[in-house]
Amino acid sequence: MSNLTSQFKKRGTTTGHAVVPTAAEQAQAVLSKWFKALQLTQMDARALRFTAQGGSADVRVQLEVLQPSLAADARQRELFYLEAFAAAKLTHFNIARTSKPQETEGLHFCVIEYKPEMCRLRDRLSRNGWLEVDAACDIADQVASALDCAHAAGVLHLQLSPDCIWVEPNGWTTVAGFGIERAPQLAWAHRERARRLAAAYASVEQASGAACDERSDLYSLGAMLYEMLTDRVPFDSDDAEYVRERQLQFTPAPPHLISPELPEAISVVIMKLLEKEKENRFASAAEFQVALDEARQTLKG
Amino acid sequence: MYLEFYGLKECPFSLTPDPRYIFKTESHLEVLATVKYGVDQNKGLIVVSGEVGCGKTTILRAALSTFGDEVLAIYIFNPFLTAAEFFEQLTGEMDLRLPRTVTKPEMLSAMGRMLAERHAAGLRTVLIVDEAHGLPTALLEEIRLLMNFETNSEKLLQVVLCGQPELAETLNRPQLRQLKQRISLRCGIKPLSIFEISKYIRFRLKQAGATNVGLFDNAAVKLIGQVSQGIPRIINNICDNALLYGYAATSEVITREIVEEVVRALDLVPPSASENNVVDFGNEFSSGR
Repeated sequence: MSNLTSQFKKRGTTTGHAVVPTAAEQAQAVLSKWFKALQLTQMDARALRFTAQGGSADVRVQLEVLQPSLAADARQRELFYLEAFAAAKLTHFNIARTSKPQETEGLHFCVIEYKPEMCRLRDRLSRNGWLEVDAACDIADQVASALDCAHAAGVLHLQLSPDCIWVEPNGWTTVAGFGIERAPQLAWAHRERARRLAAAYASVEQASGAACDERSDLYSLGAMLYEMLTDRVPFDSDDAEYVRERQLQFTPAPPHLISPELPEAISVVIMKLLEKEKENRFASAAEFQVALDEARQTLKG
Repeated sequence: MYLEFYGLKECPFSLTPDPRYIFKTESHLEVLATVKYGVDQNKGLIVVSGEVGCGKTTILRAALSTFGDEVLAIYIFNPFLTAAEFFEQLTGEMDLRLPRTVTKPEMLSAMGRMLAERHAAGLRTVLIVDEAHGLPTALLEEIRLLMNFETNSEKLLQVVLCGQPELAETLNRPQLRQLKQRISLRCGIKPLSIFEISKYIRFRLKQAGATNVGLFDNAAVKLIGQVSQGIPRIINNICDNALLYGYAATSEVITREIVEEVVRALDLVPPSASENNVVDFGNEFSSGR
């Protein structure tokens, strides 16, 4: 039993003689009618996440369930559906396959591809510190492929961080947590997703609530690549406001100055991703991939 | 030893300076850039300050290593020299090969010729004085006079004075006001912030070959930050001992309890603080900045 599963088993509260089940227990009770081996793996203000066995192919899957406390809020419910529909329309080797959202017995959820051998990039970085240049660039390249596909389909991620990147032992990378349609009328949803993103990965426009586009995702990719190569994010603090101030006033140290073994050409590519003005970043994920590929030639040369 | 137990290839927290273990913080990068700019642009006098154990010497050596053969760096790290000993060391490092009977005017003249020749050939000469806060006023005045070797627009000798924060007080002495006026660039090495401490420990573990750089848990890192006040030399000492204690206790993770034990053993907490179980730590550590 996972720690979280045992945690919520203890969390059922007692009122008089009756035990009131927690939201997670209620969700598990509903989902267990369709899925086997449910295990709660993550719980935050927005969603409950389980791994389970089931579906048409009877394989391991992830279930993302809208927190029942938010389900009564029409705006939050709408956002959950917008996100799940946006993710469901994406088909790419580097994007986690996601079902359309479903509702059953008042529970709103979607089913997401899951491979037990995958490791969250966050956990890998936490354990390994920085990665080899080639390994980091391979991951960034695959994330860019995923973004390129999503952007072409009119979907932005806007919550890109090592928490939603999954890496298999052979380096195969899957991006989860998509996304939201680019449509201007969804600016409120863009802002809501940006609000959930850790400040270290948020572009200036995301941090300030300004209009976001594909290039906002490229900033987050730059912050991740910076971290993969240096074990540091461009601006670090647990105070989001402080990160934002620093981000507006300063330019981060180019990563090759922190990690001398990193070719300057790759550092230049990362710094272009991290430009404050989105107009100064790469115009697309594909353009970044070309630049990264050229910079990597210096490694081989 | 603990190396094998923690999967390390070498000691991660050795106190011996090793360029591979230079953890570059923002202030380190600023010092490197300032020294390089000052030397490249013949700016004259540069002052670098920082607390004891902050890595001033290490970073100065790193700055020197970035220069090519066109820069002759003369490094003086002993503040307890007489003026005669200082000049002896200086002319020796410049390879002037002067006879022992040389007079001071002759020596200064030879030095001036050499500096001018090097400058004309596009070569630069840098005098780096470490522990400068301890230099007597008279010797600092001699250093000032060396800076009179100049062309109409550029200094022939670049000087870097490096020392503890008391260096500022030293330079405020009325007798040294002329030297102070000649300072063209100033920079300082700051202690590590709490975020940098965590990264610093992970960095050194990784450089030492660790496959898991998360050996110190968050509470342990926080306590190390509080006790060390971000001074790398103290951090190294605590971490090295903590790995030893952890190994003795066969603990795969270094916890706050292990660090507490080390802190007590090294007598690092002021007695009043340990009695109250409170460590007096600065704003830098409480604000998270």
